Amino acid sequence: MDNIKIAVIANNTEDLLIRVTSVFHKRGFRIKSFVFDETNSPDLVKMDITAVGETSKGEQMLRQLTKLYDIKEADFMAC
Amino acid sequence: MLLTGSQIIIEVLKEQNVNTVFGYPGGHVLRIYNELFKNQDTIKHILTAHEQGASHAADGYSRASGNVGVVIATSGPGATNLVTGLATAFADSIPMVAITGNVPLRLSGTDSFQEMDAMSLTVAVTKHSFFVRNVEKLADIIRDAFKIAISGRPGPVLIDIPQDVQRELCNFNPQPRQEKEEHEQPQMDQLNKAIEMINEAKRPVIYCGGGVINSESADEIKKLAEKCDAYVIFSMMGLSAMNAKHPKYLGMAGMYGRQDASRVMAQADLVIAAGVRFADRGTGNKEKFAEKAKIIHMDIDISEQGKILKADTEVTGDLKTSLHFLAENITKKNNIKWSEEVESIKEIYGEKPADKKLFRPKEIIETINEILPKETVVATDVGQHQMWTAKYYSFSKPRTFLTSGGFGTMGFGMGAAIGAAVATNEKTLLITGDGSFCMNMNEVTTAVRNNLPVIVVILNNGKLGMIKQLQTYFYDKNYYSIDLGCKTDFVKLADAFGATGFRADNMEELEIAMKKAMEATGPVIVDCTISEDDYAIPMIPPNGSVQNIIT
Ligand SMILES: Cc1ncc(C[n+]2csc(CCOP(=O)(O)OP(=O)(O)O)c2C)c(N)n1
Repeated sequence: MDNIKIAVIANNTEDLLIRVTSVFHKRGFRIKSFVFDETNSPDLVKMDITAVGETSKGEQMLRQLTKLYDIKEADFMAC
Repeated sequence: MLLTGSQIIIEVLKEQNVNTVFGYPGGHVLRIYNELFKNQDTIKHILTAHEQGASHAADGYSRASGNVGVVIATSGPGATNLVTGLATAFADSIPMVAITGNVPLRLSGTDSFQEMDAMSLTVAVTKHSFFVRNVEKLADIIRDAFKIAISGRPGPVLIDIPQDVQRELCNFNPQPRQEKEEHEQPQMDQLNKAIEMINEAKRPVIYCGGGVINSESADEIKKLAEKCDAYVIFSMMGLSAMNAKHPKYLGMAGMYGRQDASRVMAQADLVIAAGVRFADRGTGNKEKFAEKAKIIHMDIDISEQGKILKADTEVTGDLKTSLHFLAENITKKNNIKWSEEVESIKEIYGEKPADKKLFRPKEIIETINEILPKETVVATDVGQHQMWTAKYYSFSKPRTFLTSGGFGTMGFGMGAAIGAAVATNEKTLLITGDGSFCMNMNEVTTAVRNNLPVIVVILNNGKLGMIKQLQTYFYDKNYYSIDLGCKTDFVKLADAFGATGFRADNMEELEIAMKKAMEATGPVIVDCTISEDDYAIPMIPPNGSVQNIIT
């Protein structure tokens, strides 16, 4: 069990959080910190998420996250 | 053009070439039904007995035709009843659009009558779901829903529309039909690596999943198999991607698959996996799966790459393009030694020929197969009958085998067969078990009302057969909660529903019943009494391999 940190740019929708957190839940990651911020564009938001779980599943979770319709970009950040 | 929200819904459905919807009315969709009433000539609405049935029907319609299946339900219980159908379609990557009504926005969040947050409810069972707050956005959201459903890896999408949004006026500009998003093209270096691997392989196998059917790549699979002289093995979702009579066809491998197919997979030196996700039922113990083989994994969905197995080459992108490119560019080969070896595995471990004196599932299914036209669409429910159908029915073209592979939904079959019969207007076969049939037999009323040519064959063992099988092999024969103790007379039941019923207790009666079923109009139910001691074996235990196959 280790920390992973992911940065996400996504559509600014009401239902974004519920979708994002459900992917973390599905792959067994517990969210430790969630920073949600506006961007220069009113349509987009950015999120910095730190979570703890099986790091070997991190890559796969990132791919599943990226697949969400509202996600524009998602990538790992250094922890 | 100034239209109400509900008029916009209908206009966009027409724009997307939708001519059939399945559904069930209720207070919060009555405005939509009022517009459906006015548009009966262009959009046919099929009323089902239950929203679950409507969702499976829309799914079956899509599986049989390749078009998007559309289902409409009311808020609250209407929406919750759709969930199993959406999950079933999601697990098997079937494009669907579900439209639900909801309470007016002013009541939203107040726990008002029949209020349910359908958008959140379906997050886990759809590719995407929308809640429409503003009529200005309605048309584009519906268009997006269609685009999402068909693009990339297909799947179901839900749109939840409050009643007042259905009523409000808005300017509407017609648009052309939504096309699929341009598929990501596979990368050249990956393809070239795959070509090299195929050219080097001496014992190649192609492993086909549902992606082959979704991407309409059956021809490409055949060409590839013939050119590199590979045998073709299937997951349950991939069956029907190749004519079962083809000499390189090896049928389904895995937990309930053919033993010869699983053994050939274990001996291969290369597995070319096409649109298959290595799900546990097909793969078993992933460490032992195709142990001697290198793997090329081709899929449109990058999140499938590496999810279960780490392939030696990952080809992400449109499957049809990849397969075509491979078939064009590999060297033509003849793997004589491999073919001899496979033929001898088939000889030893293949299915023994039918014995028509016996009235067993294998003989029943093969007999039905001989009597029905070759390209008949076959649906199943879930259980032993499903595995027997997958193993013994010879499919001859894509989209003729409709089964709940990923989700394993008992009760799927009746709705799915109805959807397929609506889509094809041809005789459609449902092979079901007595347990599964009882889950959604209410939909026989739908088939009767619409005079649909659905032939239901119940393989009636009086038990939840598959559960009995698992209790036999893994729970010390502690049989519990499997005895359906069914006194239901399915022939009389057919009659009571206004359908036609036959009983078949031996092969002769079955042949007569099936021939009459072919001549009948409207739905027919054939009740076949089978022994409760027939098992869907050989079986590879969960997380096992051919080494611990139960025969
Ligand atoms: C909705 C649902 N509930 C429970 C199950 C678990 N289950 C799988 S097979 C099976 C028994 C199926 O019995 P039947 O339809 O009579 O078919 P048979 O196995 O006898 O051919 C059950 C209960 C399921 N797959 N789906």
